[in-house]
Amino acid sequence: MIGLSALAVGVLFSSATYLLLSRNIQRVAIGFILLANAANLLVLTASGLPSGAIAPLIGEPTEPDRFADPLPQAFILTAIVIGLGSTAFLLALIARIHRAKGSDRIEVPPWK
Amino acid sequence: MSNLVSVPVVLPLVTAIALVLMEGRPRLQRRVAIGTGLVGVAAVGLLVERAACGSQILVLRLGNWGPELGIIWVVDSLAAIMLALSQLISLATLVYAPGGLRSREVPHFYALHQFLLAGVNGCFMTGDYFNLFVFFEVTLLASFCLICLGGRPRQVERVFPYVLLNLVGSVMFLSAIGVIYGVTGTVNMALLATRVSSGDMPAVFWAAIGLMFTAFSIKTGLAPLFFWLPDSYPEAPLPIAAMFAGLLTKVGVYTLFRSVPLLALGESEAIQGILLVIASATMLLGVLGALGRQTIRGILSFHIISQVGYMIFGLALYSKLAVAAGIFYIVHHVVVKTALFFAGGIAERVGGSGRLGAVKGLLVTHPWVAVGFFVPALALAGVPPFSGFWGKFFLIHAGFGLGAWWSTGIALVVGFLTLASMLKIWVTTFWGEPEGQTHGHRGHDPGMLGAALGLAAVSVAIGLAAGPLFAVCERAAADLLAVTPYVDAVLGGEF
Repeated sequence: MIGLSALAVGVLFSSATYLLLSRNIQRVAIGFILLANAANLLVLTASGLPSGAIAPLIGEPTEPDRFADPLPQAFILTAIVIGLGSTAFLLALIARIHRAKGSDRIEVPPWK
Repeated sequence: MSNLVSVPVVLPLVTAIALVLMEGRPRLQRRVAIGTGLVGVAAVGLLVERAACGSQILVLRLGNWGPELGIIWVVDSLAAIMLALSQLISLATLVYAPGGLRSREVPHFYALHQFLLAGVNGCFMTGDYFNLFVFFEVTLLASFCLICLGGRPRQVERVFPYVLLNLVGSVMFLSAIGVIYGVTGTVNMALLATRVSSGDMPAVFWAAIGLMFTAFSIKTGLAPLFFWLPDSYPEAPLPIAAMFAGLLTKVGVYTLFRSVPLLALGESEAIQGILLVIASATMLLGVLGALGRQTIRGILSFHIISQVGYMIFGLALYSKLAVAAGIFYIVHHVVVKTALFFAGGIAERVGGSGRLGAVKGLLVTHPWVAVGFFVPALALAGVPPFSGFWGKFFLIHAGFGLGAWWSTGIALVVGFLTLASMLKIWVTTFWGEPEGQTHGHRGHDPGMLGAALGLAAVSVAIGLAAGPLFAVCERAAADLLAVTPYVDAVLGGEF
């Protein structure tokens, strides 16, 4: 399970990096969304993913040792909310750039 | 009375929400913001009196949760100094704002400004890394909205790299936090410090720390990760650019000053070497970039990078004197850089353009603007008796004392190059026959002039009171490097 999850994190991070390096700003936005989710999955994976863990506080607490650690999940919940806000801002900015330039390609502006 | 600690975050948040409700009435918004800003100054004044002058460490456990799980806010002497700076700069920005903002930039400015202040103050006070991540994001989202106010096509295009690189930096930080928690079971800074000092940590922990410091370096604008900064800051509306220049990069600097001693990284010679190289490269590349720019704010923005290099130089040397010099340099730079952006901004408003040479001879037509630029420009370059001279003097004294010949030499050369690029602005904009004063009346706006001259006066005062102020910085540096008092105060002897 943890190997599969680690693999998914790797694939997500590498695809995100590939998309972020694009000149097309829509691809960049998709890249950022993947990146944010890759980080969320990484936080969950890094906390251990014990097999057969049970949800805490549901039903009778018979085996407290098998409780899944709730703190990384709280981290991820916070990070998802923050990621939502960041993504919304990024998309709005991209829409604005598209309207201003009439294209999705971003050029390096000349230095002056 | 540790509830006092919550004021610098809670007050601006509440104010921000109130200001959202007053949208469309900018004069009322400004009055309310200045009023609560003064209350904030009083609260931070008390914190400074206890933490920076009395060497107390004030700790607030939110909801009374223990340090391994709960959120903890800590104000020690360094945090108190930073809080005082952020209150000063935010008030100065509010004074400057009505003259500095174009009319289409006014909506939402005041509320977002308070959100930014809450985020910055939170970064200075928080005692755990995840909470730091959250406050980074609060700061970032407010800064994204602020830097895009007005929404000119050129502006949104140039801001894009700023937004993207900072978001990527945040994701890196979050990933690092996840791994750190996975390895150690805590993200509390003080607890991490005890774990690091008590035993060997696995390699993956140090990898995560490396990732975290990369994220901090992006946010600080250290070489070679500063490319987002000099193109985006000049596009922000004037008061916002000034506030970013003074405060925002210092958040990154502060996190480095906080984390390097806590994680016991400063003692390692390898890490000192890396930090010295990074600091020297940042100083040099920043000042060279500034020499090549042709706009007032373009030059000033590149100088932020160069000056951040000086602060990290102090941290890299890692003696009590050097770190104190670094802290003194932060205090000096926050004030001086904001003052320069204020005065340069007035010149830009008068000429209608930020290009060098668009307006000439301001010394004749607007002498007070010239004074407001001249004083901080000399201070930035390090000419005595202004604040920058003492900042550089302490740093270079510490550098030669510790035998860091190369990087100290670079610091000296960069000082001269700084003077050269300040002269470039001075000669083209303030000297010569008056020409291009298309909006001359804007240069007499009392709010803009008051804010610029006020901060210039603060810079002179820092230069004159360098002795007592440096004593405060030395105490802050001693607390920072000792680590144990901070850890004991946060953990309360429980661990």
